[in-house]
Amino acid sequence: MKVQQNAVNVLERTSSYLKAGLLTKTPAWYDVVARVPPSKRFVREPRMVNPATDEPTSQLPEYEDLYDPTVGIHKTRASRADKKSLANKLYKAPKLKYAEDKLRELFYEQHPWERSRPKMLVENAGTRTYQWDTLQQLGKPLDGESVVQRTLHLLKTKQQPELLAAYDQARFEFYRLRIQEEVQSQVAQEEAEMFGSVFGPSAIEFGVQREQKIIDIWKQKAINQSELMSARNSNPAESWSSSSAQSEEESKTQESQEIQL
Amino acid sequence: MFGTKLTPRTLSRSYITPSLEHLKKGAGLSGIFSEKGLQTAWFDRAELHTEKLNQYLSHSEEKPLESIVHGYAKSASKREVFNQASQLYNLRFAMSSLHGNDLPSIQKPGPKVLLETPKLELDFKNDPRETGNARLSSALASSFGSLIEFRSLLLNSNKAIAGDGFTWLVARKVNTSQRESLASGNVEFDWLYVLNTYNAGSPFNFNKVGHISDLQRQFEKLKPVEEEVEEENSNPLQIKSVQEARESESYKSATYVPLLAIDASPKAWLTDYGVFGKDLYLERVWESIEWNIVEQRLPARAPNYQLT
Repeated sequence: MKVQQNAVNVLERTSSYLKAGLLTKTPAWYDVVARVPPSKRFVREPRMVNPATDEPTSQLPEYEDLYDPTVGIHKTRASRADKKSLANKLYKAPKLKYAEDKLRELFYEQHPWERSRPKMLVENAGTRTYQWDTLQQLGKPLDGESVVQRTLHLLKTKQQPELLAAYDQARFEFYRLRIQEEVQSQVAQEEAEMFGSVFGPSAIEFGVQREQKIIDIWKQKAINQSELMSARNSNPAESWSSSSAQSEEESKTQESQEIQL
Repeated sequence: MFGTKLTPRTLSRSYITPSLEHLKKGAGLSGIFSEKGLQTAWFDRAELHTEKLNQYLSHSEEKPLESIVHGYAKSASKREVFNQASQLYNLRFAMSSLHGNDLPSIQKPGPKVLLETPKLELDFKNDPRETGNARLSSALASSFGSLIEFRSLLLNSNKAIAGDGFTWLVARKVNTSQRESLASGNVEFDWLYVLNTYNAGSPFNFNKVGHISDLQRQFEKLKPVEEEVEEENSNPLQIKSVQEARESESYKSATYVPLLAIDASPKAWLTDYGVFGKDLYLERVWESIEWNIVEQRLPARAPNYQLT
């Protein structure tokens, strides 16, 4: 199939249209695309090294590995199937595997309630680099990520020989700091109350209150509706007879009115 | 020579600055306070509070400090007197159980301590189990789980106090209305607790929750009363709000016997330990606690029918 380049040349074409006077108004996207032009390299490049593991993505086997003792000969030519699988791997996006992910998974499996802590999801200040000589960081609240990073730091600086030992050390440091934090927040509240603070409803309580108002209205409606339904269903025959009697009476009165008329 | 005799005796009495045997002017307390540190942490403050106490009481009477603390705690008009008396009592109580230790002299820590990771090794030496205070240590172990848990709770509670205050180890008195021990006058406790008081707060009057509203009511009484009758539409079936419930229902009958106090005031640690030194100060305080004195204050333990 021919490589489609029309879409990529949109900037050039638009510029020439503008120059020729076919377009009078510059499109809104024009400056943006001019600043960040689309890539025009359509050549797929083989990725020889997996960036996650720093190992070659595909490699032909060594000569020694090709020896087949049952037959007593070396297989010197790769078959078509062999070549195909090797080539496939070269162009596939390699799977990224990091030790951090496993640690994170382990930590949050062991401490599921850590997930319930409020967390800032949107950060607009860019990425920061932290020094993990200490578990606590300025500008970063203590959480599972701190434990993961501290574990890796302990391993990198050879303070702990093994992954699990490093993880345990980071974890216990984390517990210490959490204990401190917990007492601190309790005492802060107590101290503030002692000096006369009155705390309003929390964000969650406020939400529940708002919800409760709607629920109250709904409840009243539901009560009314169910009363109506129960009234209808209580003795259907009676209500029908009464309604039919009523209609009969009405028709009678109408008739009498007609007669009078 | 007889001049002193001839001066007319004033009938006024006044409080004398309290003194403790193990604290001497012109010397520090080894391992915890330097000479200047002890001066600011103890002598200056004791003098100041005594002076103010005399000033507010205007030499009218002399009661033991404890009875002032007990008696005036909920009085709005006597609050200056109470504040001074309570602070003096707390300070003396805290200093009385602090004896020196043999650790090297203090070096002020720098700002790095703020982020420092706590050490995992628990290398404290002053252990009530090793100083022969079995009764105290067993009470601590049963109330807090273990000595380590008690230590971290005590020191962390103190560390968390932002301003002035004290952290107390207290024993809760058993409500002995039915028991015969009341007749014999023995005090018994069931559990030990760690308690914080702030500024001039007192462990005898620890129920801090309703204080502000109490004082407010008293002040309103002092003012000329405005003619306005509040309509009370209290419904016995209505559930109280958390605030109301805490003010009216919590800690109704508990009384505490203080055993140990730790001063959290910067006046105690700023001179010797610097701005970043509260952690170090608390570690040194732990090393300096005289457990014998703490154990002497511990009342008898009430028989406990719970399984622990």
